[in-house]
Amino acid sequence: MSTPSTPGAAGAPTGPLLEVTDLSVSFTAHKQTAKVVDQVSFAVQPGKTLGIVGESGSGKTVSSLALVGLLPRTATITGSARFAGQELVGMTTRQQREIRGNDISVIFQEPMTSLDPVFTVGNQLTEAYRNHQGGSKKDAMARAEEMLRLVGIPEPRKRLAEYPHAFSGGMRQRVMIALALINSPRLLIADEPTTALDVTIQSQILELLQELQQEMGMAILFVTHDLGVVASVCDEVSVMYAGQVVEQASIDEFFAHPRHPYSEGLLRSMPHSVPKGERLRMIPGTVPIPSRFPTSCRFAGRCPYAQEACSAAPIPLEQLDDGRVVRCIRHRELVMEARP
Amino acid sequence: MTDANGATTPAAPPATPADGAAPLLRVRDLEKVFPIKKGLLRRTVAHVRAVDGVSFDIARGEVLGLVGESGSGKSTTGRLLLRLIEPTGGSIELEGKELRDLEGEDLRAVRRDMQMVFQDPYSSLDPLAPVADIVGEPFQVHFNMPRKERDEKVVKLLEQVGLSAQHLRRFPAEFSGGQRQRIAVARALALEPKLIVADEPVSALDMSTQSQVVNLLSDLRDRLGVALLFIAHDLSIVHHASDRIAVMYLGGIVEVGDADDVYSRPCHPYSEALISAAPVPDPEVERTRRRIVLEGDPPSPLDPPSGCRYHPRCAYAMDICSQVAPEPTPTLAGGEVACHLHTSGPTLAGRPLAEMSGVTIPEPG
Repeated sequence: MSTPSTPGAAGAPTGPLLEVTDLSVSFTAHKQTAKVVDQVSFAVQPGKTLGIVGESGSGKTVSSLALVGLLPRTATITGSARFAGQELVGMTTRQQREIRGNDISVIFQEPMTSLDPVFTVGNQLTEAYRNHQGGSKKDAMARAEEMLRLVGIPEPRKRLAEYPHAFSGGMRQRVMIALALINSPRLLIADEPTTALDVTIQSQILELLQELQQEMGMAILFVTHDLGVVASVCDEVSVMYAGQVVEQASIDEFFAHPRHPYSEGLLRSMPHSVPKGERLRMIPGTVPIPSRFPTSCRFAGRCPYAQEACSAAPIPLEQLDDGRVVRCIRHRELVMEARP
Repeated sequence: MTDANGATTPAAPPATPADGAAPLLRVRDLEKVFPIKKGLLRRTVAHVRAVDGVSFDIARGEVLGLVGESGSGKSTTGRLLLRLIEPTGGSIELEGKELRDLEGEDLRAVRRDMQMVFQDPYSSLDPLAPVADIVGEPFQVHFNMPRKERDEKVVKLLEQVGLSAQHLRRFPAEFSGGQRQRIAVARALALEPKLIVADEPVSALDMSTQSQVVNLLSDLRDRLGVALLFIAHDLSIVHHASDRIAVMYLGGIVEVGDADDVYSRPCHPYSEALISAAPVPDPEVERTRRRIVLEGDPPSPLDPPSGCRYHPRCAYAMDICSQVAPEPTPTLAGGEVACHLHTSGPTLAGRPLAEMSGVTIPEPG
């Protein structure tokens, strides 16, 4: 989507707002360690939207939550994530709290479990505001009302006094968005924000997010499994498979000419890619589980183009001349199309 | 690069009920009213008309897609057909036999002909039972078949859904979501049913495995001639898998017709909005197409709007829409639509809505 030319305030105006390099996350349980995110790298430009797509178990949610310190203590995070010149990995809890909900906000899939049921919506909004901005309750309440109006909730003043259960699913997600944006963050992490919603409500929320992005100029890291949503709201897309980034590209390039066999398989398995009456294309097999990730190419077992070399050694993530990134040793010789 | 994973020619479309042949399933004015009980004495304080006068046919070997948002009554409709919940009105006929009067042994006998596949294969399979017992249970329940014979049958079923004899002694936890859904399908096929009700069979699956299950269901229809009620909210999948599509809104069917017609040339404003709301995986299309963004939430089925239930959200609503509920009228393409635009005012008379709205829906494929 088109975005305004006014990226969030200071920082380096040319570089990315968020630059993640070799981010890895491991969980240890019962003396066994599973590396669920393995050397993930991506960058989010100011005011732009990067989609992270992947299936369940790909590590897309874990990588995004690792950025803001929302993983359990059992997680070990290594690598680097620079946000506007600040290193996020290794921050103290206190530093994380300062940045979270302020410069970086998060909205989740399930709006009911992310709002506190025993506090009014106004209470939660003003708390989020005053925690970071200080000021009087009255000012905070005025800001909360402004936010509810901004996210399209009718009669905002009256609804501030209501509890989350009094809102419908779509309206709750609007409240979540108001809560996330009340401190005008420069980066919004949206983790499957519309997956639990009906499709007509989803289109309302996607439209709202795009409008707010135009207005407030924030960048969005949009975690989703839905390629239709990616095509509709993202500027760039990063594809994750089994804990690794396998491809990153602008959405136009990605949807026209994927460079990784997994991306091609995903695009081709969409019902849109074949005429009605033909069989849907499929990717055979299933995603491996973290304890059984191969050390070589993790997709090789399901890949129609796999050769011996694919299973011989780890495959590096390669930066191409045109700015695209791909993890496949055969990408130069293979010509892929989104449609079979 | 073109790969060679088997594209087949489309199967000949099965006869639609319009052809005059008696339908396999005939549903008329189906109704389910749930009482809302409150207080210490559990007094009934209100009623929810979850399914309110639904009528449709399914031909032998036909796939009817049933789409709608949460609360539209599509899952309730599926469960009513099998009498997993009891209808409060209307009729359900399977091969001319009224199911609502059946009880006991007669009902059990009819249930062999109608089976169900549920949305979530993680909760619809007994985690403590091996595959042989899960898939073989229908044989035991209905025929009291000895184990050896049962296992032989189970292996055949597993092979039909792309699994094999080596999976017989395994437990559900050892399978992925897509494989579990195959097991659920194998169980549904055990008694050679004439109709399978599949309630969101792929919604819980990952995208790379969804098409495996959709293809499996299409194969079974082509090979075994089993009819399918495919309930789902993802229109692109329903469109691909179905011969005809019925669109539900707040307990009623607003439009039914050939899958291509309903998907590409809808006649009801709600069908149009629902289809246009789903983003398609093509950035060029997403940038240029006009999308209808519906205002507001679906109203509560507890207190449905008067007249046409869709009128408060409808961009084309006229005076009559809030007063009189529209009757189903035939569309030119051979389907039915319940909307005053086709009968009152500047009438569409069964033509696609696009002629008035100018909204075009990107063609798939």
